[in-house]
Amino acid sequence: MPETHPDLRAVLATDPPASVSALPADVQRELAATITQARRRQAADLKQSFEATLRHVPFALRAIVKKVVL
Amino acid sequence: MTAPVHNPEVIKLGHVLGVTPQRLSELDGLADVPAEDLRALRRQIGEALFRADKQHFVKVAALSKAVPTAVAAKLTEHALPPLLAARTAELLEPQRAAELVRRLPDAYLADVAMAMDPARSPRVIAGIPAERVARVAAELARRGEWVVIGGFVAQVSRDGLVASVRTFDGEQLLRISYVLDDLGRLDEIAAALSDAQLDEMLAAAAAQQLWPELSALLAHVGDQAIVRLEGRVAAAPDAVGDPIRRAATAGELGTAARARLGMDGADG
Repeated sequence: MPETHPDLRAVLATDPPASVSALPADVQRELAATITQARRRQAADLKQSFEATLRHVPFALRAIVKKVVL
Repeated sequence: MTAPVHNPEVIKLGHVLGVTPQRLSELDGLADVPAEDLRALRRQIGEALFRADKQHFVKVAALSKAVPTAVAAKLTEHALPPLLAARTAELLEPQRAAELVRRLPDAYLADVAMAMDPARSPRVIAGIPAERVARVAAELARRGEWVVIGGFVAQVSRDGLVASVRTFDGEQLLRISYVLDDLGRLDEIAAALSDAQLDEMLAAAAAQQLWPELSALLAHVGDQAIVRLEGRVAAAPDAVGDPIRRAATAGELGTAARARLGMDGADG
């Protein structure tokens, strides 16, 4: 049974298909790092999205909306 | 100039991860992983990305449900960036999402489509009227978003698929069929193609050396479409037919493609 690299299992929260677990450890680690980068990029994009959304909300309501959404 | 990657699943994985397929191809052995396993990995990554920020999407979806559809549509278009709208749409009731879609412009829907994981919203997508699907598909094709369209093909209604296919030219059809997420729909697409579109596909392959794309199509499409394609190749002008025969002889067309076109003796 091939061994899944712990970094890859951690970012996926599950084991990938066996053929992926069978890849060299450094490849699995690099794949995990790429997924982590995608998550960070998504988080940054979302933050930017929320800020853009808030600009359209009347100033008086912004704090409430922020509290609900964030 | 970087060399193109001729592995549809690596191309799709790159799209989900926001990196070039070339970068993924540099990972030793990844391109040799079976297609179904790369597909499963892509689903796992999509799930991980969704789960990472789900609490925010749930709140936005709840807010969206709390206001009338007309107000929600205005707020969505003017205040909700596509990424946020895409993730939120995955949590909306299909009926509510369909009402919102009806009120949003095509360009905005195309932006949202680019950020969506279609596999996460099958009922929402299947409920979009055919004519809207076709208009958004045409906009995505104009932008060259083949992987995005290829993902949506798996989820759109039959009428939506047929209406969309009618808007695509031959090159677009070749590029989309190469990255289809559900090859099971290839025959529905083929059945909707006009002879003119088949001719355009062959002409595009010949003019742009889209041999991997044409090979994949010929390998996976059903027998009825093969009969039609064989006829179109035979009737094609030399400017189209000759490059195809040369590609077969040179082995640029895959083995299965050559066999199905009756050109398997071309290199022997």
